[in-house]
Order: sequence, then C-alpha cells, then structure tokens
Amino acid sequence: MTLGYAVRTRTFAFRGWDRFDYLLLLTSAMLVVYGLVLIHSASSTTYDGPLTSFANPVARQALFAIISLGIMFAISQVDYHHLTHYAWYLYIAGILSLIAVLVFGTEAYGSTRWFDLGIIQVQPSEFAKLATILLLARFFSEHGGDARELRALVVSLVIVVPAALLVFIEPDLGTSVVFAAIWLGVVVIAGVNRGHLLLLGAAALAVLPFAWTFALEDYQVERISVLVNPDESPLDAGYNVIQSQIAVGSGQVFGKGLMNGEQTQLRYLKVPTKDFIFSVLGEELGFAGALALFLLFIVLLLRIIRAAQIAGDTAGQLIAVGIAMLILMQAFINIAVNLSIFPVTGIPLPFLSQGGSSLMSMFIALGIVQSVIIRHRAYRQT
Amino acid sequence: MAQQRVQGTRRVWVPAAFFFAFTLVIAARLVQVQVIEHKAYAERAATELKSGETRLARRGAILDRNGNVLATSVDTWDIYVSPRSWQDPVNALQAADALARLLANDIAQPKVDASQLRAQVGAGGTGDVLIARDVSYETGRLILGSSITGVTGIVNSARIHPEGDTGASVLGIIGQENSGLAGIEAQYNSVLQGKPGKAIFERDTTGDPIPFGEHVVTDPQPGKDIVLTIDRYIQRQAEYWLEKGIKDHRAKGGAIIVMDPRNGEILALASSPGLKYSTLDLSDAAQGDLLRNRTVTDLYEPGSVMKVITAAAAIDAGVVSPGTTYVDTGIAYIYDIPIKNWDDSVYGTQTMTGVLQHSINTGAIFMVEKLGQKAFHSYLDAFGFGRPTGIDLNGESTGIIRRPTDDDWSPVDLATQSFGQSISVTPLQMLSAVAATINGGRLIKPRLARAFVGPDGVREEVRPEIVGEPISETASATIRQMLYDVVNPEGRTYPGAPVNYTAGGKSGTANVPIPNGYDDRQVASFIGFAPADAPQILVLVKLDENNDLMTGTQAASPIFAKLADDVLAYLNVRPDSARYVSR
Repeated sequence: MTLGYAVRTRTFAFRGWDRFDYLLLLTSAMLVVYGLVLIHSASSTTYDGPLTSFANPVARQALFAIISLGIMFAISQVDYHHLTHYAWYLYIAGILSLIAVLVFGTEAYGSTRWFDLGIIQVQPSEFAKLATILLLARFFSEHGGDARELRALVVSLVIVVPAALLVFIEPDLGTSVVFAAIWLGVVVIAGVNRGHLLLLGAAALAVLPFAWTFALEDYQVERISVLVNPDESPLDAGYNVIQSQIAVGSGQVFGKGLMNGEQTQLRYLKVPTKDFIFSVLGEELGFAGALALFLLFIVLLLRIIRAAQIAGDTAGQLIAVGIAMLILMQAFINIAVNLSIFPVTGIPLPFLSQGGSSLMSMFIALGIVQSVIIRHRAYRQT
Repeated sequence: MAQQRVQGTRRVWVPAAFFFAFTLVIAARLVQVQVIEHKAYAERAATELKSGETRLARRGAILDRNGNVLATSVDTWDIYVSPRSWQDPVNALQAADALARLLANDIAQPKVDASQLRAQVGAGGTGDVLIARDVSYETGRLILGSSITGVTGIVNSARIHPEGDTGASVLGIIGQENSGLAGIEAQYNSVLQGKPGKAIFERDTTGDPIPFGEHVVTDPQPGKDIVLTIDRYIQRQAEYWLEKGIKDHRAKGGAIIVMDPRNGEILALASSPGLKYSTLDLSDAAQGDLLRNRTVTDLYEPGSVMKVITAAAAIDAGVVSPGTTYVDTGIAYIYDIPIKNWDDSVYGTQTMTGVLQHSINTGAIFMVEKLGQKAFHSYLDAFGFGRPTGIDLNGESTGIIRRPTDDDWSPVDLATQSFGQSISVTPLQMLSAVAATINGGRLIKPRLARAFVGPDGVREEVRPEIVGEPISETASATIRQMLYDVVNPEGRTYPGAPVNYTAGGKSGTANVPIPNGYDDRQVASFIGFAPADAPQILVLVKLDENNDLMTGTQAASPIFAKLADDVLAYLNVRPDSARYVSR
C-alpha cells in the first residue's frame, strides 16, 4: 500500500498533494530560515541564554513558523470559496478589530497597532488586509461587480477606504499604502477602465496637498523630510535613516560577515530583528546577500502570479493577485525604508522579520494561495 | 457556488511588472549605497564606533634628580551624555539637574548650570556628547554611581604639576589626547605614553551605554617614569634670579642654565619668556610661542664670552701661553679696516690673561691670527659650534658659523669671530663649549634625562656621552686659571665673584645683529663656574635687551655670584677656606 493511496482513500486526510505548490512552500521556508539566521545574529548581543529557550527570539520565531506552516496546510484544505462566501463577515470583523485596537490597543513607538495577548502581540491590520482581499475578490467575481463600470469601482473603493483610513489613524502610513496597492492590483486585473483609473489618480493627486497639511501628523511630515536630509535631526527622526544607511553602505559587496556588523552588534540599529532586519542583512552579508534575498522573493512572487494565471475562476485569480500585491508591497516598502527611499513606517519584512502575527498572516495568505492552486482550472476541467 | 469564466490572463503580469520595476529601483539604490558610495558609509561607521574605544595607558611621571615629582598623571573621568536618552524633556530636565549638581563638587571644573548642559547635549550629533573633561576621580565615581539617565564616563588622566610653574618650560605640556606637545613631554612622549588598550561599552536595549559597563579588550601598558637631571630647588632658584634680573635691568627676556660641567647634566634651565602652567591659555595664539624652549631654539651672538674659546684654542695649539705678551694700540687693522676695543681704550703691553681680564678685542685678534683661520675653525667644530648639541629637547637649532666658503666671507669675519661676532650660537651650545674648556677638555652631550624607571620598577640610567676632546687636559687647567684670574683681578673686586667660593668666568656684552650691522640693543651675559679648581657647576646668565645698557660684567655676573653661593651650599660643597680667610 503506497502512501499516495492511503492519502487519497482517507477523505479527512490532506488532499491535493499532487497539485500543491511545493516550490512556493520551499521558497517561503527558505525565507523564514534566512530570517532566523539574521535574527540570531541581530539578537546575539541582547540574548545569550540557551538556544532552545523560548526567551530566545530565534526559538520563538521558529516555533511561530512551525505553527504557521500547520495553519497554512490547514487553510489550503479549505476551499477558498468558503472564505469568499464569509468575506463580508470576515471584513466586518476586521473593521471592528481595527476600531477596537484604537480603543484598547497597546501603544508602542508612538502608534497604536497591537493587541497585547501576553505571549503574543496581534496586529489586527494583518488580518484586515486578508479580509479586504477576500471581499474585493468576492465583489468583483459576483454579478454587478464588473470593474469596467465606474459604479463598481466606487463600491470597491468604499470597501478599501474604511480599512485604509482606520490604519492611517493608528497611525500606520505604510499599511495604508499597502491597502491602496492591493486595491490597485485587484481592479487592474478585474478589468478596470483606464480612463476611470486616470480620473481617480488625478483626484488623488488633487487631494494630496490637503493630506500633507491636515491628515499627516507632524512626525510623518518630518519622516518624509528627513529622507531628503537625514542629518537635519540625526538623533530624532533622522536617526534610523542614517544608521540603516550606514549599516547597509558599510556592508559593501560581500558584507562584514554574520555576527560581525558593528552597526548591528553594537546596537546602533533600532529593532534590528524586526523592521530593520534588512539593514542587518545589508551590513553583514552585503550586496550579495541582498541579491540572494531578491532571488527568493522573485521566485515566491512568480509562483503566486502563476497561481493567478491558473486560477479556476475570477475570485481565485483576484485573491492570488491581491496576495501577490500584499507581499510585494510589504517587502518593497520595508526594503525601501531600510535604504532611505521611503519614510520610516514600521512595516515588517515578510517572512523574515521577527514577529508571530506577521509571520502567521503571511502563511495564512500562502495557505489561501495554495487553496487556489489546488483547485486550479485544469483540475476543475477534468 | 457561483462560478465565472476566467478572463484573459495577460493582465496577471501587471503585478509582475510592478515587481520588476520595484526590484530595479531597489537594486539601483543598493548598488549606489553598497558599491559606489560604500567608502563614505564605511568611514561613517568607523567614526561612529570610535568613541570610547581606546583606553589610555597611565602616562609616566616626570621626576627631578632626587625623585621629587614634577609632573604626574592622576585618574580622572571624562563625562559623556548620550543625546538619545535626553530626547525626553522630563528625563533631560532631571538628569541635567542631577549632573550639574554633582559636577559642582569638583571645584576645578568650570561652573555649568543644568540649562547649559541641556543645550550642549541638544547641539550634539549622533555620538555621545562630551560634557566635562578630566573630572576628579571622586566626583566622577559619584556621578556614575548615581546612574543618571544617559550619563557615562571614560577613565582619562590629567597631568598635575606639584611644583607649580617650576620647570614648566622644560617639562612642556600634553595635548588632550594624552600626547606630549612640548618640552620633555614631547621629547619622551613614546616613553611616557605607554601603549593604549582597547575597550568597548556594553549598551542596554535602547542603545544607551551602561555605566561602569566597560568591557576591556586589551589592557593598556603604562608608560615609564623619567628622572630628570633637573633639581627642583636649583631650577626654582634659577627661575627666581632670572625674573629678578630681568626686572632689575629692564630686560626683555633671558636665560639661566646651570650645568654640571663634569657630566653634562642640566641642573636647571630657566628661560624667559617661557611656559607657565598658571597662565597657560592655548586658545591664545600668542601663547603658542611660549612652547619653544629658547635656550635651545634661539640664536644670539655671544660676544666676548667667545674669547674663552679663542684662548682655549690658541693655548691648546701652543701658539700662545697665558704669559705671552703683545702691545695693544687700541685698534687693529684687518685689510685697512679698523677694529677697536669695546671701550675704545688702549691697554699697552698685555698678557693673554690680561686680554681676558680686560676683554681686549685686539688681543683676541692677536690670538686668532697666530692660530690661522683653518685651525680656528676646526677648533670651533671640535667645540660643537654649528651643529646641535644633541640635548634631549626638541627644536634645537644648529647655530651659524661664517666660513671662507660663504659668498661674502672676508678675513674681517675671522677677526670678529675671535671675540664673538659673525657667529651665532644657542645659549646651550655656548655653555657646553665652555664646559669643555674647564672640565679637562671633554665635550659632553648636555642632557635632561638621568634615568628611566619602568612600571616594573626597573631603572635604566642614562650614561654621559663624550662627543669629543677639543683640547688637552693641561690646556683646560690653564683656561680655568685664566678665568679664575678674570673673576679675581688684583686690586679690585669683581662683581661676579661669589662670597664663599672661588670661581672663574667670562662676561660678554654683544650687540644684536641686524642686516648689515648692529643696532644698540644688546645681550649681556656671563658664563661662570665654581669652585675654581674643581668646578661642580657651570652657569650661564643671559639678559636680552636690558634697557639699562649695563654690561655683562655689571648686570649678569652678580647674578652668577649669588646663584653660585646658593647652589653650592645647597649641594653641600665645602666653602673655599681661602675665601673665608680673605674676608
């Protein structure tokens, strides 16, 4: 009796082994391992206990990764249509959690983004992003959800804007941008009229000066202006900009070697295991290490785009595109912050940054993508 | 479950296009930062980490010849504040108050109030801001022990001088980075400094250094102590008499050097104008000039003191003896150029001793003409003129001798050199040459270092170094007698004769040379030794541009007499009974 037979004959067991995207799984696992190595290096000065203790950030992260992998497998078993079916509930739950976090959440680094649940901090915006993707996918795959019509486009905006606004007032500018990117990616695939898009783009540009004056807090304006001249406040707003740039720049082509970066090891970098993990990579592994990271992300994203291509229906396709945009934008914004070409905004690097909530939401997203892949078009047609 | 036909998949590649565009932007930025501009960032990383990395070694002490401390280092703290910890105004307010209050405990520190501290820290860059340098050890421990937010300290050391300004122009000063800038501190910097060690700070999770959390990587190796030939008492006396002489004779400056002619050890070296710790202010550019020790760096024409050398050369060469006579007509003609005596007088028939006693220029010319130019110049070389003496003080000048190979050489130069013109010397050069004429004929390298004592207590002595033997021992004895006769003339009292000791010496009063001649500014000097038959000290007294226009005999030699009585008594030298009897 072969293993394959055993799996197919037992309905409650894991199904779809043959269609499951192992390359996607492998790439994401490699990204996590890459992250564990960097967290180990970046935390070596703050933590020197035993490797297996849960006080060790590496062990914690590894545990979260294992749990997250389990959740991913579980979710890949769920037909994504069940998820789109309950998308409204998920979405409303997401919005409520975003409101709740503003009221009950824990403040850190000047913004209120987290629920402190003791052993783990949960960032509701992580799940709100997924809920929004699911709802957008459901909306455009239903009758009346034709993106070519302006009415449908406006409705889709009405879905995205509340969530984006709620995270904006946390404040979390970066996540707002991610919401915008997700929406843009989804409507483009859903066949938006180019004229409508230009119209909305023009309207956004017109609103921008007012946003700069009224909506952005002073500190946000400052974070943007320090990009131009970080030395104007080297300790305050410019500090992270300067230090991360020094770290990455002094790493040069091959880096200073793991555990050897002075910027990292002497703790000039803030949150080196989290938002500034890319600076650690840049300093200790250099340009070569960054290229290796890009290679992994390229493979990962191409696999998700492949999922969109082979998806069984519009909903699956839009989900995959939304998730691709989600991972792409988070990675881009995080790296751009590290390289001082985007204002400091507190977005973790997907799969690498220390943090259970982020890691779990990434693997949930991959689980949904696997679900789309497992139920792909060719399989349906057989 | 509502199913929909899947649309064309070409648009699926739009996110991919985004993705490639983003990757390009990031890769371009990475190339810029890591490949093209990496040097600048690497340098910034290095400078940022540098602060607090070196742990300075204990700098050796400088002692006088009897082991009294002239300069030593005490442990102090440099107090730093991490500006990031003072970002929060409430913390900063509290911390600044506490820090200002504790800093006031150290009376040597300039007064600062809390708001000044906050301003100072606020104006700082990314690194820790230096708040106070060389805070006393006790105050520093107090500050670091009360764990004020953001405050750290690095052990430093400060130079203290228990004898005050005594010997300051010899000792010199050190800069802020613990390295010597002038004097012995600069000359023996590598000996005194030791080898600095390395240390890094432990920092807490917010990146603030932990007080006392210093992690020493390599231990510093302390420097050696230096025992000088200087005697603090003699140095103080020399400085006292120099200041008094300058005041009494309204001079612009001067020098007094006391040397042991037997071994070249400098017992005292006073120079004015010179360095004084009590009034030192390096921000005043004019004071930078005080850092050089003029007794080795500045040249003068010695005038009649040079006749000692001329006589020594002539007697050693055997062309004259002390009793050789010649007839002084008050004027000598060199190629029809008349050269007169200093006081325009005519002395008639004179012995060579008389030439020194009356300081007769024509007599010196008589000797040098008997000697010839070549022999005279080789004697000048043998006595060390025209090259540094090799004393252990930096910035020594070589001096200038005009020679026949010079463009505008004339035989008149030879004649004037015999009585100390057309030749420029440093005070120390003159002194060491005269030492050779009276110590038995040996030119000995003058020196300030007597011994080095390592941190392990091992003492290495510096041996005297004989450079050459310009004249014979008998010629030297003859010169001693002749110079004794100068200070002890028959029938009158010489102002430069000490009360309790026999002495010898020669004065000089030279005009200050200016281009194409001399002006009426003068240098009055005297070089004397005592006791006469076995000299233990040789003293140069020199007054620059004394406004009362008194001669070297009148102005400088009495200072020698007082100093010789004082110093020899201090050195427990038995007074000469002959002098007692005659009194």
